[in-house]
Amino acid sequence: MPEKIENIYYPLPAKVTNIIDETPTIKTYRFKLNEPFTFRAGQFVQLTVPNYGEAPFTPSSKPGTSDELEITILNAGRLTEILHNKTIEGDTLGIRGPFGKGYPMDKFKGHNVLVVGGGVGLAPLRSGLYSLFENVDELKRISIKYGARSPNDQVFRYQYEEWSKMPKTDLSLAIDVPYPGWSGTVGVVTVLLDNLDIDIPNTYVVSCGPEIMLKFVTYKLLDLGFKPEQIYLSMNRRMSCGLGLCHRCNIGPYYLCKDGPDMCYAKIKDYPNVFS
Amino acid sequence: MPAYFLSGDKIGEFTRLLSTWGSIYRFENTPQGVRLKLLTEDEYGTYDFPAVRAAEPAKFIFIKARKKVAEYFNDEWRYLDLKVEPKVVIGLKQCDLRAIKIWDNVFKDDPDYKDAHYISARENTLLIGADCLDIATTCFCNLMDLEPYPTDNTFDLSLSPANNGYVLFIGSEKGANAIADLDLPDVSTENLAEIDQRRKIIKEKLEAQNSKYKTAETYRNLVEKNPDSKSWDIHGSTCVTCAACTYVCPTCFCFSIYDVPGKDGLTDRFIALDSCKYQRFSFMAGGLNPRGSLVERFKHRYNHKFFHYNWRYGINACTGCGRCIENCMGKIDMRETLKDLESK
Repeated sequence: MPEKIENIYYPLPAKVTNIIDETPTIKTYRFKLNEPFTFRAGQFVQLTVPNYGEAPFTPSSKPGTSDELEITILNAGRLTEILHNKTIEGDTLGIRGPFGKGYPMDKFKGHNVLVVGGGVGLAPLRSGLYSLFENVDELKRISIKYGARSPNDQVFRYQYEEWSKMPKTDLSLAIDVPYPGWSGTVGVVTVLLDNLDIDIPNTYVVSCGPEIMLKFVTYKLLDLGFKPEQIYLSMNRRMSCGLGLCHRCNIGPYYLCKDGPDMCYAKIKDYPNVFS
Repeated sequence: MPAYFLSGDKIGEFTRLLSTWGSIYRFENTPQGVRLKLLTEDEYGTYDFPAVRAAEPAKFIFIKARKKVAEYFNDEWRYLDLKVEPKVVIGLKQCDLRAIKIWDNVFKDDPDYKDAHYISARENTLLIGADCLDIATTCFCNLMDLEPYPTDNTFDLSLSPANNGYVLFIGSEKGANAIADLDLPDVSTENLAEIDQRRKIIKEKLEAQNSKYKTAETYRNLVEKNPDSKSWDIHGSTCVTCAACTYVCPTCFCFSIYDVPGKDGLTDRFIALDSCKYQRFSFMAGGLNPRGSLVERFKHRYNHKFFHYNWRYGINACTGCGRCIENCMGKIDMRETLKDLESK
């Protein structure tokens, strides 16, 4: 036994260097860390707000090793409300992680990847997109489908043009209800899957968004002929410890924090309450 | 398994020698039942050997219901010293020894994450097992395929009363080293025959007590394959969500993490035992709760013990100690819930 071992509950300091208003309810926080931090696309971190606690978020920045990290956060609960209302540039928050397995990028090689996002769900997917773009030579195609309530609720609007121009990549957007000046698709994100022009047997899907969206995206994909083995869902439940210990984020025997949070639908589909 | 004979008049010498390893804690008969007690030196020489397991579960030897696990940002807490005050615990029954093994799998032997708080307490504790000399009405370790005496490789030493003394089994190198200075005779075949005979009688008592609860299928299969059984509704209906079952359970380890302002602008991070019986255990920001109903939470505890844990580690996370039955104000008997999964 060594004399000392790392404390799995200790967060490392992360200084807020920039806060970007994405939408009225979503902000991207850029952090500077004291030392390089490594994560794979889809892995998540526990973000600590000193004195208040921590909550799980998947970074929205480029995976790999860096002393900078971005996390895009919707104001949805107790901790995120403090983040949105009290946290300012220069504050020091904490990071624990990375946790989880992340997206199975090796599996995607030689295939199409269909990326389906809803609302703030595009945040974790953006980190996945950076990885996909980096390995685009090994992929057949990247097709991005993104739905938000209105144009004002779309995150990363400033990057859509750049993404559309990436090789082998296409991007389609939808908003839930008509909006003045919007001439694109209107409807929930599943309407972007109608008349899908993609070689289904050679396609993997990664999807992230509200659980209700994941449910209907999954059913739609199955209707279209996708197999459960081709569908990867970001099943983000209450991952508290991040370590596979506290057993509150499970679906069946899988700990989402340790075995996920991106779960192959084939693995979880037969367990009760997959979509709550 | 090496074994020696420790005569009754040598228990003081034995305990004194162990006290050079660490402070002596021993399970003792008290008016409040069997309890763990820190011994003073003048108590080493007499041992009123408890017949059954203690009221409190063994997990509290290694953890506290609430414990500070970090202070941030204070670098001293980033790496933790594994040396803590050593303890010797005498008198652990098999249900508690198995529970320690169940915790070890999760907090000590996981290839990815090591809980320094648990490991330091565990490594600095010498575990002395003990045979059961009788059974409680709630005991059902035989249904969990356990014996009423130490068999797992979790213990360092174990004691089994025989011939006005004890058969002392050596369970680990750590245990052998701790008593290396004690000159003991080998155990005789008569001593072994005596304890075998008693163990057989205790086993028969357990079998008789629990025969009506026997199931043809394994508990893993029953729990995994019957998520819609009426048994969940019938037995879960008297649960009052007090969470006593999870606190007294030697294997229940689910916890929550919370932070409070500390001194000098630092923050203290605590972990506290939590319970899957509480409604907000899995409640998420935004209002979703995968286990919002009581029956789902009731089922979750069985799922964790007999299905999820078994799926990962190959053993059930229940040791049949019966503490949950003993402490349930809703009079829920785990044996009945499991039995009814077969027929309802």
